[in-house]
Amino acid sequence: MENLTYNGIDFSDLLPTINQLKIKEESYDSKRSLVLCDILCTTEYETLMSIFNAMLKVKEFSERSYNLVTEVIETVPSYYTAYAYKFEIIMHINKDISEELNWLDEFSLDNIKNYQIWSYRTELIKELHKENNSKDFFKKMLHKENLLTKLLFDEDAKNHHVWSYKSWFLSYFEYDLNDYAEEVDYIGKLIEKDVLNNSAWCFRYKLIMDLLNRSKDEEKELLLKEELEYSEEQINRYPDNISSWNYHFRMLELLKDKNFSIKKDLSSLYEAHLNESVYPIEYYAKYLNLIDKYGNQDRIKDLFLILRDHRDPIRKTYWDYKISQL
Amino acid sequence: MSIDKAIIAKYIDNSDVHLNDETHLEFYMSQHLRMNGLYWTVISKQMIDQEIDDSQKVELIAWIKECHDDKTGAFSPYPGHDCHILSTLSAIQLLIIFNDIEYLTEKVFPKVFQYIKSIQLDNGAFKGDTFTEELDTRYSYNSLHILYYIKKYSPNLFEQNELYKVVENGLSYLKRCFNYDGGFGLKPQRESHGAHVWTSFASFAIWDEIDNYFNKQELEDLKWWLSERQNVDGGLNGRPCKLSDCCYSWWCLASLKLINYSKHFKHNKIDCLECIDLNKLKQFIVQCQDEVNGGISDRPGNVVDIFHTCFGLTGMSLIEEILDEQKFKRIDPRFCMLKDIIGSH
Repeated sequence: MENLTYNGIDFSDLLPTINQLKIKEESYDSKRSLVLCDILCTTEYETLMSIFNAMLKVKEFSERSYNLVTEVIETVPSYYTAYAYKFEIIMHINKDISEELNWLDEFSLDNIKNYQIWSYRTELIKELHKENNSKDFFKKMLHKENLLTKLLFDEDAKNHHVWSYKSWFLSYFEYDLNDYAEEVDYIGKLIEKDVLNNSAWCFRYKLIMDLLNRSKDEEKELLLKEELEYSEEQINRYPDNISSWNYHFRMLELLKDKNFSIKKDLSSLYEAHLNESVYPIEYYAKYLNLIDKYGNQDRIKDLFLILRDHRDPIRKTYWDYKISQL
Repeated sequence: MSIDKAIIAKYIDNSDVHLNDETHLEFYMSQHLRMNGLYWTVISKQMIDQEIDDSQKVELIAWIKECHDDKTGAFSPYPGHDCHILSTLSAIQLLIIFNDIEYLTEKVFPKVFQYIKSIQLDNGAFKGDTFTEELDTRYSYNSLHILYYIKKYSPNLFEQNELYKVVENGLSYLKRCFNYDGGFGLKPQRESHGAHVWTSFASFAIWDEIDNYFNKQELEDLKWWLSERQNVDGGLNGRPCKLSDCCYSWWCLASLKLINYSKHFKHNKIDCLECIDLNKLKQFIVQCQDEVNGGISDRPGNVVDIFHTCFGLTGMSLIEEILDEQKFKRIDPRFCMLKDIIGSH
């Protein structure tokens, strides 16, 4: 009888299934006169995949299938089916999920643009949470996840998959107010590092809106004013930044919507930066429009004219339109 | 300075050969988006008014039908692969372009409505297929776009109410993806992104529902967000502080064009598109064309591909319409299909 070993492990018992699958594949290929691309397949790769396919076919759940599927994923990191199978194996032979997450941490750091890792991670985290849903445990988990995402953001601060995963985590678990404070702090550090990171500003907004919904009315006003102050500091740090101006103005809008007073006159903030960027001019006009639309018509028009004729001529037609709308 | 049509044609012909050559690595690497690739290729050909000859058409139709799953009505990106809503819309658009409406009304539409319902969640969001949980406004667009064709070509196949229920639910969800900065994100509360702006907003335009979901101020915010996308190099980006990319010439311009569909903007003398410096953008797209092999890339000097070639050309067509030039065919900003095709059936 034939023998089949891979990495010193015996897989001879799978040979009948492997041969069966091979016959099927050959008949399919001959029908479509397709020649497999030689560049893609070394003998080792072919052996690895044929064992994998045979195991998948007979649904083998064992230590050796666990090790083999890990190798398949490390060879083809975007092979979705391999992750799904690996998850099944883990469930069947009761592998330690925390250890699996440790492996995934390392793997994610080497495969930063991959997206299959995130749906796999989500499934593992859900299982882990089923096993232990205590508050303490959640805190540890959050702490650990934040360490990982922080490392990934060091590589690519706008990575869409990582931000998506962070959002999922936030909506899946019940955060309490302390957890939120930690998260706000976390995002604050990312903004501190790169104030132009629009993704971080968006996540901050999501956090603050969640907090706002959970706060009592008197706390709401304080929260919004703190955020107004915060964004003002960030504007002063680097005025030519649409993200901070946008956020700042949104806080003003929300304060007004909820009938909280905007006592402070903000004109000086805008005027201090007028020469440094076009955004203070644009947002000055928005601000004047927000506090007194009709009383400020002339000043708004002057600002639009400055934009049109001097500071933002690439959008001349847009400013003409805005002037015509006054 | 302008796009050179002759070398675009050469590029399309060459990539056609590569993609059908089974000894090439690209053949295997791109199987999972072959149906979309075919759609981008055919649209690019149409933009430069190049005919697809009849024998080629027959072959292509047969290949598309090989990707059709009889059970669900959906299409896969390649024969033998799993079905997906992305490839399903592309396949349907291609069959409309090739004028095989009968196949659609008899074999596809009766089943695909159930498929679309099966990938919609209770909150109105759409998944991309029946196995995975991934949500994306692109999948909403694909589904709502297909429903438009069902209504158009098979008006009596389903109860109008049943169809509208899916549409309404789908649009309500998309409205939740609208952000305070005026853009749309991948999901509710996600960062605004040019491509998601188009897939979301065009869904409202397709169903003539813009004014039922957006007030004037919201549309002004959207217009502002889109006008903010132009960089000093003339090109458009997809998010603040990102580099220009040629494909946003389609996503952002088409979205601006759609704002004109609202009653608040319909009667303005100036087209919403004009809040972009179109001459500068045109220059940027021209610089993205590779002078040797003819295709268009994401930004000047990079490697070209059929995706950026397609959306560079469709963006160019929208620009030309305003500048009153006649080099490329006119495109419908809702469907990314030739106006001639959408209007003719």
